[in-house]
Amino acid sequence: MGATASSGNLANPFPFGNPLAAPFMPVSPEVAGVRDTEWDMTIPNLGTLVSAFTIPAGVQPLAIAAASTVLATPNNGQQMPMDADYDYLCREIQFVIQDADTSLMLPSDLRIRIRDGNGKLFTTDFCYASDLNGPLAIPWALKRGSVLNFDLQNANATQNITSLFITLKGWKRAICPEQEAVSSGYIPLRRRFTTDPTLLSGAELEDYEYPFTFTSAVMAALLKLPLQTDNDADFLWRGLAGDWNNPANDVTTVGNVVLAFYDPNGTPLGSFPFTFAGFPQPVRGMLRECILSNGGGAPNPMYPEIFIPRGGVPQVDVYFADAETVRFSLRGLKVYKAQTGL
Amino acid sequence: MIERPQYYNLALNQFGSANPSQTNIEKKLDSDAPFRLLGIAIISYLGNSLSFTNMRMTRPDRSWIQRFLAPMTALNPFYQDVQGAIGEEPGGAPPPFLFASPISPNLIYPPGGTIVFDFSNLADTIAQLVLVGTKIFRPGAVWAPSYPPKPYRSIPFLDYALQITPPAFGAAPLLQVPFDVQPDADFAWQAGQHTGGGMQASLTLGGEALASIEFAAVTPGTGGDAITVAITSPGPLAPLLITVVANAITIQPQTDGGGAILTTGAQLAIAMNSTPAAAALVTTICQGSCGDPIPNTGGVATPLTGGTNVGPTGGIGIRIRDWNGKYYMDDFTPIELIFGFAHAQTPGLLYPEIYIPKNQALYFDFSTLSNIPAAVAELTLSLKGQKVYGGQS
Repeated sequence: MGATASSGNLANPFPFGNPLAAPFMPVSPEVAGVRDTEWDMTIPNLGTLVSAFTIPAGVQPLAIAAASTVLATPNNGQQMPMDADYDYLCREIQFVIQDADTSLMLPSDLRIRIRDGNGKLFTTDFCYASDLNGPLAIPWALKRGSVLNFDLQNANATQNITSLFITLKGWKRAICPEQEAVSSGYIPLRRRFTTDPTLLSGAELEDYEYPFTFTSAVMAALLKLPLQTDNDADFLWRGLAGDWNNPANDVTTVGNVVLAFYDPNGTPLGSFPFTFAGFPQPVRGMLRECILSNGGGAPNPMYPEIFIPRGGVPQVDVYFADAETVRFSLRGLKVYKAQTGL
Repeated sequence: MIERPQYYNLALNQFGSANPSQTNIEKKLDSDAPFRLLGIAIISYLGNSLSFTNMRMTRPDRSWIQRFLAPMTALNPFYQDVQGAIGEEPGGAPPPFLFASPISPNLIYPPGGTIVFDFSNLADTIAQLVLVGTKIFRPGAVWAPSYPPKPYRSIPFLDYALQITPPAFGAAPLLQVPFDVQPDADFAWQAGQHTGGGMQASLTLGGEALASIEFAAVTPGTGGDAITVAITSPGPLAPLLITVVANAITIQPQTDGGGAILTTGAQLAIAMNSTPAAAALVTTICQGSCGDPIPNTGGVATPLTGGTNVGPTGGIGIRIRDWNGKYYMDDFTPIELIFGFAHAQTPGLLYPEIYIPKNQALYFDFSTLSNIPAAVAELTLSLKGQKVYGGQS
């Protein structure tokens, strides 16, 4: 994106450069007075976790006596010392198990209990590694020079874990009085949608979803199908979700189908011609997985949103190949306003 | 200041299985602009478990970011999607999507800077590490059009399609494929997805002292598997005759007085491709010994095989150039990173977006980074973003 200096601020001369982007993609925010530096802490290899654990409920879990690591303290959990120079803010934890055949391990096999440098439990009990892996909602502050303790438990009935890496990702925080605050410019997509006071004044907003299903038992191009919306409220169309399948399969997505949507004015929101296997002539649209979200909670986002006046009729072209049913929903907000003149 | 997307690539298949550990591997950055590193992405093509391979890398001052060598699976943990917290299963196919993991706070490398890597346990890895970030330029230094002054009108545009036939593994790259923006509006490209176009079913017949003939279905997909080819063994003095009934092609070769087949591979290819009913089903190619007689199947109808429907594509690398010909990456970048498959809600993201005025274009180069999985007949890229009306003419 061509950005100008006037778009940003002094500390961050760049504007936010993609409304769909993830939070980490723009310039990193900085806190005034401190200087953060990325730093990844790793216990390089916890060696062999002897034997499998099948511990009945109520029995105290065992601390693992690892055979060979530089940092390990046998019989007293695994220790990760923090560097002594700066405090550390952990933003992500990753446990990586290495095994001769990881297909025999399950995410629930490794369970972990963590204490921070003050001896406080970070987890109330043993937790699945798969639950702990990943980013933390709030950075975890760790004092310089402190020592983390990891108690480990292998719940696999037969399979040994031959080695284990523990990695903390985060940043060291140094005092830096000259550091000024930097804003990344990141604003979540949901807050980038309309705030037009003319539209929203006196309005009541309600999450709404218009579901549609189309079926064709034969290969067919069904063009300009009307997607009738209600006439009780305007609609702010913000996303698409859906699936496609054959009649015999109501769970997984099967078969090919192409869709092309139009806004209520008939302006196509895609419809660029291409060919695909299983359909005899070029189509104008896009294939199933490229246009319909496969996660019900997270629709394929549309930015900017499309305003559909009450009773408005967006349209869709559907090219059925070997899929026989396509189901999708237009997701967004209904805008209820007081009726006038009625 | 202007930011534009930049991808630096480091192939990890150049060291060989005899050199499992590599230290002081230097990645030299371009000298035209500083580089803001915002994330790293790693893809394994061989199905290696990247949890077995460890690395660390340096900041601009050459201090390490990682205290010790850390598993690649921890540094780019999306790979664990394949098997929870355990790491991906060795030998499995790589997922058809790739997301960068954040480097936070970002690191700003100077122009011409160097990033140093240490690797351990590379084994016979065929993988690629991508440094995802932005280059920082002064205004006017590079092609960087932007939105028109407000007010302007824009709509979401869900699919600009770009369709190509990717080169086979080892073949020359496909260069300078234009992506043209339509004349009605500018386009702010923000995200991408890909889908494969399927494979054509095919059948190859041949033998010693015989021509080698390939019949390939015209339309990619499993529908091609329903096509059959039968070459009969007629009596003496038969003429060449091609008949098509539905999906069944029957070829009666020309024979001499003793019943020996006279029709050569070259003659059959010409005859098949000039027979409308047959040419509508298959493309016939003589692959070798084309002056020799064609084989016969004894009249047995033999089906074409191997047709596949639309699905994910892997192992393709992509380079993108702007309207002035300046690349956004230093080498071919895994297509899974910019054009992921199967997740319309989380497509591959460009940062920042690339704004392309109407009637201008980007140019794409394609190459095959790996023979795993096999190349596809077609590759369809979906470019998503906004159409902006009222922009530059």
